[in-house]
Amino acid sequence: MFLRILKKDLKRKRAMNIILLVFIILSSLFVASSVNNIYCVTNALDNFLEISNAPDYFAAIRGKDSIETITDKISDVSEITYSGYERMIFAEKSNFSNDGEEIDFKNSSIIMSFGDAKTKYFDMDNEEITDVKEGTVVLSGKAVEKVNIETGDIITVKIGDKSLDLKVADSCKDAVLGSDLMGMTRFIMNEKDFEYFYDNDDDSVLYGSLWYIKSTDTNKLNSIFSEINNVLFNADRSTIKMAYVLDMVIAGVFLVISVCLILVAFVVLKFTITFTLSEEFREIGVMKAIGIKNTKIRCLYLVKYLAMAVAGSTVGFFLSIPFSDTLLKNVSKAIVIQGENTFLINLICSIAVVLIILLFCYACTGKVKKLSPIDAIRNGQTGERYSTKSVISLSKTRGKPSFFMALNDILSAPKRFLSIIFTYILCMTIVLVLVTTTNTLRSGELVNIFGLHESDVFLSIYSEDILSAVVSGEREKLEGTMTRLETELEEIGIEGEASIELFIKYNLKHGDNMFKSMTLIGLNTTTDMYIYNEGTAPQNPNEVAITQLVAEKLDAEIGDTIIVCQEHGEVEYLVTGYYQSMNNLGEGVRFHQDAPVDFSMFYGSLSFQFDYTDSPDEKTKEERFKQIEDLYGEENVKTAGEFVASITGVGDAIDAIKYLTLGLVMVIIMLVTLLTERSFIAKEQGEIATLKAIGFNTSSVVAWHTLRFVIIGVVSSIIAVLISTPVTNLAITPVFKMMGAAYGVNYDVNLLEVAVIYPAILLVTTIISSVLTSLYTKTIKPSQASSIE
Amino acid sequence: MNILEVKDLCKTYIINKRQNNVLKNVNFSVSEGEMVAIMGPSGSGKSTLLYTVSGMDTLTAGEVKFCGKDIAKLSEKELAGLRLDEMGFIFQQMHMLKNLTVLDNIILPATQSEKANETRKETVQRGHDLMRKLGIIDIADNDINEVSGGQLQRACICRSMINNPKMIFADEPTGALNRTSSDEVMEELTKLNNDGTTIMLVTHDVKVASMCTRVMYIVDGNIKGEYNLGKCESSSLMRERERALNNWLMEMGW
Repeated sequence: MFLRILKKDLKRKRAMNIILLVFIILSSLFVASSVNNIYCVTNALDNFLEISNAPDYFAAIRGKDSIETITDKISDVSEITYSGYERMIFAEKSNFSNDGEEIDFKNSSIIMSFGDAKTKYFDMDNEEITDVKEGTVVLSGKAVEKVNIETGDIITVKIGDKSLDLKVADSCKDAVLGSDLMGMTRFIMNEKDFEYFYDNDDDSVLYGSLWYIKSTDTNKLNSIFSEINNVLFNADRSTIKMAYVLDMVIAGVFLVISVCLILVAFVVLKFTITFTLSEEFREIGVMKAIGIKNTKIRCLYLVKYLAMAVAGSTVGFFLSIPFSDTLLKNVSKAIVIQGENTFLINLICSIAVVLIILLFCYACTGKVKKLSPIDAIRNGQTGERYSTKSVISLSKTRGKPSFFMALNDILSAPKRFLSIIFTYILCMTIVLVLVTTTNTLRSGELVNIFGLHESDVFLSIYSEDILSAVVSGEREKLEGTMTRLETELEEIGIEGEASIELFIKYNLKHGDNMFKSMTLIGLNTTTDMYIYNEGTAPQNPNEVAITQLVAEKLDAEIGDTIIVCQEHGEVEYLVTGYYQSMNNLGEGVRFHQDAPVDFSMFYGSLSFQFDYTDSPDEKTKEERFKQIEDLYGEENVKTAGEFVASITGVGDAIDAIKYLTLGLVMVIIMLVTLLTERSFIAKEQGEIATLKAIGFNTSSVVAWHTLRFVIIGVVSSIIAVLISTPVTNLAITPVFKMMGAAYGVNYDVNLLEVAVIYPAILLVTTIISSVLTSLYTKTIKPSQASSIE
Repeated sequence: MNILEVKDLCKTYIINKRQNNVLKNVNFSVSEGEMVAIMGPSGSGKSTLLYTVSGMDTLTAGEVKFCGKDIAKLSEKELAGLRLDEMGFIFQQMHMLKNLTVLDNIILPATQSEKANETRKETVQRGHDLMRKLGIIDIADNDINEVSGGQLQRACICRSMINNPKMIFADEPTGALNRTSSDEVMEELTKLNNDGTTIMLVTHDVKVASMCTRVMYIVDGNIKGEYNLGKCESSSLMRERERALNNWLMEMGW
């Protein structure tokens, strides 16, 4: 008999059963793919470093003679279990061209031989690269993405007086230098091609070696390498991991999205189960009236929901496999993320969804005890079953009743709409957090956190002069370039001052603590042009400001004196203030502009900066910007915001995720609206028919139902807008802190986007879905008022 | 003058690919001020007839003219307008919106209508007047789950009256009520009829039908006969009218 009742039920309540089945499929799909994502992403970085054979410690040293130097230094260190090196040539954008045009990879590059490779490199399909043929080159994947180069293109590489045309064979994922914060583009060549460039004694070329060391004591390695002068950069495995923080921002965003999807799935599932069960009062009453026990009735519903849960979860499980892969592909273009256990995780999640549905169902069927045969006899219409109380009165309002009825429905039974509101708020907040994060990563204000002052123009030009200064250690070269830049701009009628920020590596000491850190000094700037979070700017040449991380590592604070090891000896500096920096993951020391600079330790620079001296208005600034673009090329001239976006490099990736999430959220909102509205129509057929019978036309009924979603949408949007900034702070600030912004960042909340454009997009999605779904009320005839129970 | 004219009305349902002719060439008319009862055995097509002639359901063939307008030619929107402004409906089950108070349910059609062109205050006043007239003013601000079936049905009558319709259609208005409530509701409907409102109702109750001016007996989708009772001038004549109607119904095969 049970089976017959079930069969009839599935047929008779087809609409509600289909709605429930769709929600089960969605829940299973979202939960399985999201948990799978969480598992893969959280383990991805460790897996990637492991399969790449990444070292415990690595260091880049300049000079061909560095190989012998390092070999001597580390040969008798017992803690070292493995050491190896890759020979390399440092290059700048002037070393590469495509069809005669310079290729700007936006960061430093190194050229190396595949034969020297000490770690494994993977192509964009996560397959290991096993060979680089003569005449070809493999590039870091992210670098290729930034410039307009595709596989098969020919790149001309010119080192000193030697030049070769190489075909781009592939893009690769590079565990050690592939992160945005490491900021290195790797050019992997065939051994023969590399030897051609390496076998050169040109003084203008910067040669070096990249060391990979496996050791049980990285602190010891730190102290060894801090004694070596030509170290360009050195770091341990934890720093390599930390440098992927920008990729992990994206992964983190995906985790947040995944968690939200799981929440949405369960909220709507509970809504649908509660809703469909509340429809069953009559059947339950009849069954009770004929003497069927509570346990039997509950069992009947459990069997029904078990059958639907198994069917829905099975479909959801199969759909989740391609869906997981699609999501994972978008997480990172730098990390190898493999969904090895996809099948098992998805299967476990789908089974979990079935169990959770049964749990919900068991909890919801608890109400069976409360229902009585009277409910069946009186059709639940005479007072026993519902106790809604109208909150507002039609007699006290004006205008058409559709809006009143919509508002009154929500106010009278807010619990009924709570899950929809929760889903909308969650979906909208995710999008708004991403919007604010993207805007912040492109905001000019962030320029301070990268150790620069806000300038009118940022110029990525004359990089060969910077490289030459690094090689020769001549300050005059850079000063000469700045004068040249000022003259060139003066010739086109733009007066101003050029400046540049120099990155210099020094050994720092305080008490027993010593380590090598990146330091900053501005050429043609003053220390009061930068932002300090505590204390004051360095006022004298023997004063410095330091970052929190340096303060912690040195165990120094404001008022202490630290020692900087320079070429001419150890110099004492008084710490006057703290500032925050995302350069080198929070490591930094700012010198006074008149402090002596040891150019032999000069490591590099980000960009030339230019400030107008005649305080032009915004319009003139725009015109001048255009003029400078015409002079140096559009790609070389940037505003502060554009410059920040180019450094962080994740703006575009987060943008892509933002749009993917927006699409996903729109689909979720559409589905939730469609399915809940369809549930409402199923439940309110009697009321709709009555309204039509007393003279309401379909458009009034559609307006009534749509306005409910409009009100819910507007309320959700307002809440989402209000909570989006605190949520962004809560979710994203820790990531910025990990990157070095110890005092947090000022988020760039674009009110037009956050409060108008994106909420409007989601609201329009809601309205369109609810209008289209509520058009179904057209099929309900007024005569049904007499026959609907 | 006829308010409703029905000519060769046919209504067919297709159920499981089988044609079910519910109404077969029905012809009748209703004059202004009449109170017509439709009686017949279960499944004879009484309710279908009521819903078809009132424009709530579509007709398969024939012609239905309400106030001279052919309802088959009206659009869905025009039909809704007709139901809103010119017709009133009372159902066996007291269908009302659960989230509204009794008064709000009553004035709901008036707030939707543009016929009266009145302020909300005036609408509320009319709602109160109607409720007072039907003796349910005390429940104006109650939720519909707080009142009895009889009170709710009287509230439904108020709702059907709020736009001053030309005709009220009632489908077993006393079907869900006890005798006392049923008598009260019929008393109100008779008063409305005496005030000039045309009423057409479906009923199984001989006592209810005996209060009408005319009774149509329908069997298998055809009107088998009509019985003219005329206006009831005195309540003392009620038993006699009931007996006479009963005799006629027996003849019809009731």
